[in-house]
Amino acid sequence: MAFKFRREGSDLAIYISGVLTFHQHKEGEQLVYQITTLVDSGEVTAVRMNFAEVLRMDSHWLGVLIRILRRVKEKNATFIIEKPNKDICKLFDIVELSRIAEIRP
Amino acid sequence: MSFSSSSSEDIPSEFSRAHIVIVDDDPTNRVLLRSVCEKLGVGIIDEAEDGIAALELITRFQPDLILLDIRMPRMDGLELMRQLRANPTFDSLSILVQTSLQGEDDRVRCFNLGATDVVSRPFHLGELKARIKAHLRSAISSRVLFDFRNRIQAHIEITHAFLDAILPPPDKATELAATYGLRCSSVYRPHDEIGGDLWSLRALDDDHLSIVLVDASAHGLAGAINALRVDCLVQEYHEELQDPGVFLNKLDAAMAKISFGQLFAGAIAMTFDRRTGEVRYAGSGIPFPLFVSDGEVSELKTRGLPLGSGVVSLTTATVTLKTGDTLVLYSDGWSESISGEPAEILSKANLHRSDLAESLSPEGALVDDLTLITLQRR
Repeated sequence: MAFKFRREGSDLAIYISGVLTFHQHKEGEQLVYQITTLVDSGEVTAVRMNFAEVLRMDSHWLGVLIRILRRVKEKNATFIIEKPNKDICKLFDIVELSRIAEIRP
Repeated sequence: MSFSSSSSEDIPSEFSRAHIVIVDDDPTNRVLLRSVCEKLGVGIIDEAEDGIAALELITRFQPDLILLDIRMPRMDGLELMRQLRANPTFDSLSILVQTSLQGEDDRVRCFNLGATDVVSRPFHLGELKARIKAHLRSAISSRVLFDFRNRIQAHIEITHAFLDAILPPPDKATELAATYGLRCSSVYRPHDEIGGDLWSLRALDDDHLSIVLVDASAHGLAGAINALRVDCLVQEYHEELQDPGVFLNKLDAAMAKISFGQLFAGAIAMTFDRRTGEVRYAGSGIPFPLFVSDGEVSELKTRGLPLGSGVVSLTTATVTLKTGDTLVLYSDGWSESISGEPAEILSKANLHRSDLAESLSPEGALVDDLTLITLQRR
């Protein structure tokens, strides 16, 4: 997997690609650290994660998303997930992620 | 690994724990080779006069390196190599052949029989020393890796035993379910040697049977540790299983307290009443269980955030099983490993097989831990 950050004012856009499974747990930790550092500093008030290039995701990465989400919410910032594929949409549906995050097709 | 030096000659201190066996029928050669090894700081040096004596020493002590002569009485060096390489234990044993045979064919023959390297006689001491050093370094690195692999393997086996102890053996599960009027079949296949799925079947009282399926985050050792942690909580709260929603809400809160943001799990909990056929259920973060009645397959929608997030708020739903109705509970390892939709596969299956779960399980490699449980009211 790979991810790229792009800052647009106080918005942070993250473009993720590849497969997100437990085997990418180090990258997950890195992502949590980088996003929470920016959110904690107050520089970022909106986080957008673009999933257009994500092929597959497992329950470990749901945990990663929830950790990021929690911190973003604690700081009253907004969190948006963009363009997840059909299988990932199904996973988000099962876990009702839309209850706590905005998901844009 | 890194090697540290103990002298100006750049001799790794690890050599003091190395073991070399010199195999040569000529005492003068043995003295010379021993002297070279001693100068390199090699800790254990053994000698053998022929292949038979060497084979006994090598089999007994599994040294790091063999310095091997070819022409010897009783058993020559070629035969010794043949016998050693025929034994998988000595697959990676370093064998440095020292020979006066100069022909290319002779050297090729040595390599074909398993020599790691060949050095010519008469010796150039500098070259001989350099080669012994190189092979010892490699042998020590291999030994460190081998020891590490064995330690990890032992950890995996112990964890495997822990998991086996908490998972219901399929025949016991079938037996227990039968006393409640259910035909139960199950498959549990971890993605690695051990996994993070967990399921249980427990008698709550004479009329109620509970089923819990948990898919803890991570695979392998980490997944197994998570599954064991969740199992402790499942046991602590199992009396709450009369109301599966309450049970899972409590599990979520308890997991959030101990997880440090690292432990998440999808789970489904059900309670079956054998008098009425009523199933009370709740689920969170796990694929929807499937319900088959009169040939129609439907999903029991059980949406919710993964347990451990600390904000799960589930309510219990109910469905009633008539005789012949079937429930299928599974972790995402099943849906991700089959080609096609679970409901579609189920609609084509012979639901009356006693090994239904096995028959639905895919062959070949998995992408995740797989647990599949089928329950049919008899």
